[in-house]
Amino acid sequence: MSNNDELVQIQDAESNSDDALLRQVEPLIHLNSLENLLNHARARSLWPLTFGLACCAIEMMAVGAARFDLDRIGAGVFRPSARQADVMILAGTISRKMAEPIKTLWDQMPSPKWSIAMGGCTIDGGPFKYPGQYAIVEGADKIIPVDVYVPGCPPRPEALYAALLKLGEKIKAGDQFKGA
Amino acid sequence: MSVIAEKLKTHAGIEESTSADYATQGYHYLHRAQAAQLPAIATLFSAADFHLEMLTCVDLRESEQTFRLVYQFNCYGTPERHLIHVAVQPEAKGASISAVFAGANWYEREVFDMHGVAFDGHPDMKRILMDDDYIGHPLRKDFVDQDPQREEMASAE
Repeated sequence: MSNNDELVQIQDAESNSDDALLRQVEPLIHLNSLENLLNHARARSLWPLTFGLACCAIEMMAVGAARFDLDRIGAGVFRPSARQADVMILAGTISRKMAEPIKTLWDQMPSPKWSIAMGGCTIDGGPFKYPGQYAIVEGADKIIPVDVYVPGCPPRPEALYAALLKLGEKIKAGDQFKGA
Repeated sequence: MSVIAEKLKTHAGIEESTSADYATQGYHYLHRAQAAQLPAIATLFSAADFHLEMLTCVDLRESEQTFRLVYQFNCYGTPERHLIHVAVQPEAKGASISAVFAGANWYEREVFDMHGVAFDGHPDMKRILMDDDYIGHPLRKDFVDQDPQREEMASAE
């Protein structure tokens, strides 16, 4: 038996043992239905974190207030603590000094969690992006993962509303950030 | 000429004092002063019930080899705007007036952050707008962003 054959045999044995291991840890009962149910609940009880970064926050407040009323889709419960929130609405310009606190807040939010980048600034720096600028982060996705982008400067309240509905669809489809 | 303007004209820290036409210049008096004398001058303004309108810095290293600190004092009632120009050598420091006008505290930190001109006697001389560990002073004419985080924070240009 040549060395090569020996190697192939070892590899085969390894993959076989992987399969065996997989069979051992695979759940006998699949919890997909329960997970789907949970996702439906999550999609209509999003608790955003209470904070605004700049002018887009004014539109975010309008969405939360009586005329547009986020409570209609269960997303009006703005939480004062990152520990209780599950969606981060980045409403406004992210300055470089603010980047660190935002990252800290994101890390403090328990999974599953989602984020919405609201307005041009959080998409790619918007009007403040030019060669040699020193003050801002050019896009929220430079610091945290983003689920839905809302274009506009600022976006109309309806646009943020649509974004939250879109995020709901995404959650119902089982798409979620599984990181820390 | 007002009382404070008379006092300033004879003040030891003032090198030159001129009056100007407010309608065209936007200020009533322009004084050139020595950096170290600013706390004494600010005390004069404070005693006369003036307030600090603005404190900023201009990078004049190319034309005059100095930074220029610009102080602007005014008072309520009859307006009387005093502009004070202070030349500061590139490595030298200004003198803090935050003990006299508390509002100067953040202005001086801003000047330090953006132009790199520090102030003697300031209670908390650190950056205000940029990160504490940021490298460079963005409003200097020869500024090039050399911050290590720049690549992460900016899109490819």
